[in-house]
Amino acid sequence: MNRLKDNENYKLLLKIIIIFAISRLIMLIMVPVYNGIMGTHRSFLVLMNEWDAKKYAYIINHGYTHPTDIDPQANWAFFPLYVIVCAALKAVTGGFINTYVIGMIVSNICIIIAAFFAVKGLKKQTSIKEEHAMIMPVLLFMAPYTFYCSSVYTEAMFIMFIVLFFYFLFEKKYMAAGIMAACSSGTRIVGCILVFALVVQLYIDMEGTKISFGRIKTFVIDMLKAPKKMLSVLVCPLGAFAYMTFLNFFCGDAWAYKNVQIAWRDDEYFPIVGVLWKACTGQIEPRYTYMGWFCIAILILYGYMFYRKYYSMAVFGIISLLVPLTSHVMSTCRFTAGTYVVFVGLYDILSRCNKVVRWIIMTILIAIEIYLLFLWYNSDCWLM
Amino acid sequence: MRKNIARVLLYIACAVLVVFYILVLWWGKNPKVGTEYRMYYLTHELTDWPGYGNLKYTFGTKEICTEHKDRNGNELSNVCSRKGQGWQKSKRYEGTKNTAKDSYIYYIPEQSSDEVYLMCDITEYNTVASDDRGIEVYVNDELIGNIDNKGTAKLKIGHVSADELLTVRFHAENATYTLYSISLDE
Repeated sequence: MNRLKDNENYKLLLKIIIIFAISRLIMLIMVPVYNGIMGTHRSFLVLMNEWDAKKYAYIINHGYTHPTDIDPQANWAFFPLYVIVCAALKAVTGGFINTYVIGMIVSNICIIIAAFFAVKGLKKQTSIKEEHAMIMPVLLFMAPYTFYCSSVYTEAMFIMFIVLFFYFLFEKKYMAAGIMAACSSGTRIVGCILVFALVVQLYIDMEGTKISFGRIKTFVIDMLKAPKKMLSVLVCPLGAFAYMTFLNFFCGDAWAYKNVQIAWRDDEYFPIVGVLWKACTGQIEPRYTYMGWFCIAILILYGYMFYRKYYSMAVFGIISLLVPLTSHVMSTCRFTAGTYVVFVGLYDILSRCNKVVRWIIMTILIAIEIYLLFLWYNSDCWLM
Repeated sequence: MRKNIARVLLYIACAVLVVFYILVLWWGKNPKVGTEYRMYYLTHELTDWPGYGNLKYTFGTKEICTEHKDRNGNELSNVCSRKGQGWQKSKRYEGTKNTAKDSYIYYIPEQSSDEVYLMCDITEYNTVASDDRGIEVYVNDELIGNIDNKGTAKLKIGHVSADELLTVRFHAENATYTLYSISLDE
């Protein structure tokens, strides 16, 4: 027992679980607060699992299904790994536990694992002070839009795989990083983009931070001579391609997850620039104006991360934000929180602030999260 | 020796992955899907999702161009879910308005016939041009007649082949109108 108490990992996990418990206690307290203000009697499970959570719960219970005659929003838009894990847990527990509870257990375990490895990864990557070590768990559990990580959504699992990817990447365990990228691409399509982060980090590790035609040529040749590194890159999109194979045999269209998006929205704008312009200038709904400016702020943050030499993370963050911006700003706040790297940028800023400023910023972030949680309980369209 | 074997196996694994990815992309480029899926999800010719196999049409079936539920949430039957581009997409409680010069409706007749008529009920008709030619109705790009007022119109299509896609195009240069119901009658 004493050996366990002296164990660094045990201490870290204990601290993380305490912060986690506080964050979830706030979520529970907000239930009677919400019901009291709104005059409703809705349960925690109902309040926490809105919109896509219902779709995930359906897939966990029934698997993928074809669209009905009147509803074209086919559930194959949702990637399978989270669903598979939840379905497996449900089967192992005899099918007696409510599907929402199963999904929330999986999500919460994933985000705890993510917090644990995020702290360990940052300790190795940066010269972290002990007083800054717990910033990341606070961000992952209580920063704005992190309530999704407690719901039947893929965000927590996706963040976990991204954290593990970067953890192994900075340990120079490229194959393990590639496998984590493959898992994340089986959770959400954006996971495929981790391949760029892997290539950037491989380039830095092999050729340094300077870019020239000669160095790129050497990098390509060196990569071709290193089959293990090449395989670690090639394995990254395996999850997405495995799902595409399933879709090909299930509905005859390997791109069905992409093509089905037309059932959610058919408005078309010029990709990225046109989308941001329309959103930021208020030419679409006010919530999208907010999301447009949110995206601009996040892009600036990723620029700062470049400046601070978080190259691979910044590349992943930028591309993963640009992908949804090719069609709309809808849900970009959730997508951004779900890519983890934004929290590394915030962590870097917070760890460089003095203690008072850091506490003020973190308090504001937690207050925003509580307000957003209220909106979430209220199924508010500003979150969509 | 063992190291060389490992290297060869790694190269083989890389090659297998590349071949697998190319195969999946090839499947993606050549989807094996039905007409409804192709026209709704891939080419976006259909703006309503009719359901698998539901572009099939039996002559004489009158379909109403409203939402699937009325304002009170009651289910409606025989709703026309075969509309393409050029139609209002929501709040269609009293029929469907045109939103473009060309508005499309698609059919796949279950049987052939030599004497087929297009019957449509127009409940609103407005035009700003004095010399307006009304709504020109084309079937598979052949003009079958004009509609220049509200009411029920009957236009002769002629021969229709079974299992072949029939495209009805309403072309209105200046007119706006509301289509309430439509059918193909023998």
